[in-house]
This record gives sequence, C-alpha cells and structure tokens, in this order.
Amino acid sequence: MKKGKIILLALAVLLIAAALYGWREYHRRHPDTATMEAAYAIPAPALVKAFQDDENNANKQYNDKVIKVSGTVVKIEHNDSTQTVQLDGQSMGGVICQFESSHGGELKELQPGQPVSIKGVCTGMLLDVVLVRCALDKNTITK
Amino acid sequence: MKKGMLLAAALVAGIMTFSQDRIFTRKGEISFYSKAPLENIEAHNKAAVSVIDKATGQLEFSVLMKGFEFEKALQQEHFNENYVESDKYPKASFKGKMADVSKVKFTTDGSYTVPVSGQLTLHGITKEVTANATIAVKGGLVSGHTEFTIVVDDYKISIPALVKDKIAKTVKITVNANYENMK
Repeated sequence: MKKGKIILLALAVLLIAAALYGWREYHRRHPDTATMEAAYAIPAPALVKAFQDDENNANKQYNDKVIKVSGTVVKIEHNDSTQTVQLDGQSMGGVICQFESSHGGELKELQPGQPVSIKGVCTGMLLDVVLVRCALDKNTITK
Repeated sequence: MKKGMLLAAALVAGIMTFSQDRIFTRKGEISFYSKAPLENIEAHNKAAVSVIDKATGQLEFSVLMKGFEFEKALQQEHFNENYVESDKYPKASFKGKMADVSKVKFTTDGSYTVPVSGQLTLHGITKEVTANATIAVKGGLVSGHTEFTIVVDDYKISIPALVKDKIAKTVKITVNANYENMK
C-alpha cells in the first residue's frame, strides 16, 4: 500500500517536472550573444572571401554559429527598431551586423573608420555576410 | 589619346544612366505572421536585398532564411530545421515586374499602387505570386510596401500530422523597403 503511494507521488513529481520543462522550453528566449563563446574569430575580409570562394562550405561552417568578426566600420545606421553596423569586406560585399536591441546603446561612440570587433550569429551571405543578434566585443575595442 | 578619353567618358556616362534607373536596398524588411489556435507565429528579417529598375518596373528580392528572427527560440529552430529546411534552402527570392510602371512617377512625391506579379522561390519551389504594392516617393527617395498571403502547402512545407489542425495553413507576408539611389 505504502509502496503504491510512493510510486504515485514519484509519477506526479515526474509529470510536473516534464510539464515545467515543456513550458520553459516553449518560452525559451535566445541567449545573449555577448555571453556566448565565439566558435570562430575571423577578420571581416576573410569571412567575406570564404563565402565568395565557396558559399556552400561557408554556410556549413559558419551559419548558426556565434562568430567574432573584426574589421573597419564603414557605416552605422539607426532605424527605429534596429541598429546596424557595416564592416569593410575589402570587396563588393562587406559584413552587415544587426545589433540586439539590448546592445544597441553600445554603438553610441562608434565612428566610421574605427576598427572594431563584433560578436554575432551568422545567417549566410546575399551581397554581404549578415550577422544577427550582434553585440560589441568589449575586450577588443580599440580607439 | 583623345579618342580613348572620349570612349572612357562615353562608357562612364553609359554606366551612369544604366545605374540611375536602378534603386536598391540591403536592409529590406520582410515579416511573416500566421494566426492559429495553437500558436501565433511571427518573425522578422531586416536584411533583405532588393533592386528595382525604375525604367522597366522589374524588381527583385532575396532574403536569407536563417535571418528570420522569432521571439521564441524554439519556434525559430523548428522553422529552420523542420519547415523551411534552411540548411538545404538557405535563400528565398522573388523576381517580378510592376504591371504599369509608367504610372509611377519616381520623380514626383506621392503614393502609387501598382500590381506586381512574379515568381516566388521558397523551400526550393517556385510559384507565381501577384499582389498590389504601394510605392511611395518622398524627396527623391522611394519606398515600397506590400502584403500577400501564401499557402504553405504550395511550397511543399510539411506540417507534422500532430499539429496539422492547430497551425495555420496560410502565412501573411509583409514587405517594407526603403530604397537608396545607386551612386
């Protein structure tokens, strides 16, 4: 009799845990890129070249990964909802970095021509390589 | 020497008129929304590339599937892995034409509605799409807006049987693009 109760209780706990896990998993947000380890660190021109040389291979290697890209700022654009930094790719295309809104404020002092290092999630290449959910890599900002 | 210079000048002028007809953006916004009993799905992409040829009315869009951002991480993972298979099909594109481009006065401020039709390629499948687009001209700058609905089944995007009745079979797509003049 007692044994049956324990099993029932264990089942109930398990069920609640599963439901909780499901709920949390369903509402899970994207982790903050700033706190994530970069899978690759690469200069912007090298990243652009990797995509131009072999797009399929570069897609496989870099897409969905957090990468740290270093380069020279070409343009900083502020829209109502997004901040974008364009890095020089030393070719037709560059690297477009769309900032996470919580990291948009980091761009206030950034100027075109400045060398910078940005962490973001790679999504592939159209004219430029596009990174989303970006954050400035604070340790490497050189003024 | 003089002849060469003239030729070079003609060439440059030629390229300029060629490019003056074209406007483009690398920051077009494409969003989609689907409302259903189980869950509403909404995602935004702000890095679509688009070109319009003002002379012919031809226009093109392309977008990276992995660049669609969802609020919920799980939805985004399912979208990429199970629905659009973005590893296999990393891009979507649209190539089309405005029906009567002469009605759009690209040099006069105003708002113009034109039907656009063309081919939408998504998930490796190409289908004909027609929609009304609004072209707005203000101070020499052109912006475009359109909304249309697609049926996911048309693009062989399969919905798992378990959630088949709970997820919308159509998706509303919204496009906003602010074009720059080519320099």
